[in-house]
Amino acid sequence: MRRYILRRILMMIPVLIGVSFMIFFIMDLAPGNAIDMMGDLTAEQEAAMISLYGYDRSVFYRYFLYVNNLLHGTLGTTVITGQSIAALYFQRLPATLVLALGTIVVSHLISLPLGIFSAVRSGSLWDNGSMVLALIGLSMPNFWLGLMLIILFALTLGWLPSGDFTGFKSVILPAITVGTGHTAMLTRTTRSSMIDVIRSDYLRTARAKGVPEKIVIRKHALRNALIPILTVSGTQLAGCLGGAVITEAVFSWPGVGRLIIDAINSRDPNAATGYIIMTTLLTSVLLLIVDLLYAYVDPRIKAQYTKGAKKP
Amino acid sequence: MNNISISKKYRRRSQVGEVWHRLKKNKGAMIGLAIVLILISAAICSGFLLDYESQIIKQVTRERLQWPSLKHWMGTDQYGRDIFFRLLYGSRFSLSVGFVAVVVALFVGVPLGAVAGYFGGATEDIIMRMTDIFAAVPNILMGIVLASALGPNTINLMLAVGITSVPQFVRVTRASVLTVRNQEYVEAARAVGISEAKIIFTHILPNCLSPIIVQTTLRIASAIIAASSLSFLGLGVPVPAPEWGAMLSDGRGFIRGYAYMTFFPGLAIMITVLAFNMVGDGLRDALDPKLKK
Repeated sequence: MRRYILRRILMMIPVLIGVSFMIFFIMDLAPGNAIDMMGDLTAEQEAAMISLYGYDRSVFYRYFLYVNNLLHGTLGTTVITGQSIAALYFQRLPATLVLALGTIVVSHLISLPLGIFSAVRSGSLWDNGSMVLALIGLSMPNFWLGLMLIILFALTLGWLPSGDFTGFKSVILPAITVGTGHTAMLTRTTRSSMIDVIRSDYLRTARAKGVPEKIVIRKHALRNALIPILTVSGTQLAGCLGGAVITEAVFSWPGVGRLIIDAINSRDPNAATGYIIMTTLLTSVLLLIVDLLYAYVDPRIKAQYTKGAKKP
Repeated sequence: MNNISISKKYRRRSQVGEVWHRLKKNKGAMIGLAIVLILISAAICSGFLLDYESQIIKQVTRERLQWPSLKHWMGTDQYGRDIFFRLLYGSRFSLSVGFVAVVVALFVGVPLGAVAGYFGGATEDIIMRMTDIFAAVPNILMGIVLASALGPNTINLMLAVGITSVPQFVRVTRASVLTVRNQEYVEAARAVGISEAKIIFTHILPNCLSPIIVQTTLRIASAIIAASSLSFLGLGVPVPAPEWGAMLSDGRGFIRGYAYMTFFPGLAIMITVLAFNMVGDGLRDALDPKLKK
């Protein structure tokens, strides 16, 4: 187990290097560079900036400067304002985490009961109804949903704030906006995973033994249906950490997503690459934790780890 | 005689016919398919029926910001342009971006996935690690980085959305090829000396089509959302063009009092995406009867 975790962590290093390389180079393809974005500079200042950041040399040189920073354990400073990239990132992270947490709470509170109930009553009107709703939720562009929620709850009814991170009430609308798609996806996953389990032999055995239906569903079925559900939850939470870019733009949410967009718009490869590396790192760690949770949830997977040789 | 009639009875339908037969029974898929066909005909016809210069992008100041009425079914925007006409015309952008993006992803992703799955070893490792790197960046961020690097126009939007969908196709194809590659008929093909490329394209891929087809349909749906999201952020189709995401973004400044300006474009996106999702779900059930209860 420990060896597996270590290997997974080591494997993140080439992925992160690859991501940094890729983003840095794609950013470099963009017309214009960060120096152009700085506005009024005298000719000498501009020349100084260009040589400082290596814009007079090849992109490989700039990438080398960047990686050199990374290897010294720092993400460096933004080209335009000279602020610390890491500091800016961590300043924005709390808002993103709050929104992610809100989203996860919203989606799980709705989707788990809905999915389980739909599976138990599979084929019923209730089941069909919630599956249609889920499909609609899955198809909704979240910038639209966000705006519609703002129009209804903020502008018309005046119950909730329409943007910015000001407290508990301000989380509700963005969390619903991001959470709707997640809820829909998770409801479908829960239902199909539960249906697979409900048809299994061991559930028939449990019923035959006379275990009450409630316990059959809660203990025997749900526990076995948990792996796909966990996969989807984990992927969704990981997605939230990248910042719900669109939703953050709609609600002027001070999260990581908007920071990344600003960095891309200002053609700052150092900042954009830095933020995306941090996002990727967080995401990979989270997905690793989810993989480890599999072992906790399912003893069969745990057995594979302890035998050692077997790859998951 | 008897034998022939039995086998005739069971071989009445071709494989495609069998899938179509099952798909026909799925109400959702049929509704979805109908909507998709209506949208495609709207996209084609609007090119002939509506004049781009005078009806889509011409600004008519005295008609600006009118709520929906008999004259303007979905109202007019801040430049007095009819939103219903713009939406109709806009279907050309959304559908073509969705289709082309997925075709790009198919052409890159499927061969890579097939090669990775078939050859295995170092080839597979290299392709899959590259895919991992690519997929490690959240889709929307990758789309934004690509779209802003390529510059805002329709072709680049197609490319940006297409490229971000590649990893999905690589993974699906590889997984599917893995299940087929060791079948006896593949071994037989190899034994008679058919070239590797031919084995992949004529013996393996045709047997891996189901998940790829399903993925394609569902990806068109997500490509349409991705493309309109990028346009919403100003990274897609440039301004006067009636792209749905861009229209929605236009309406943002007018949500106080003119909510219809954001409502209708979003509704159009949602219905389109929903239709493709319904077809995709139906195809999944029809192609793999084992999954169906």
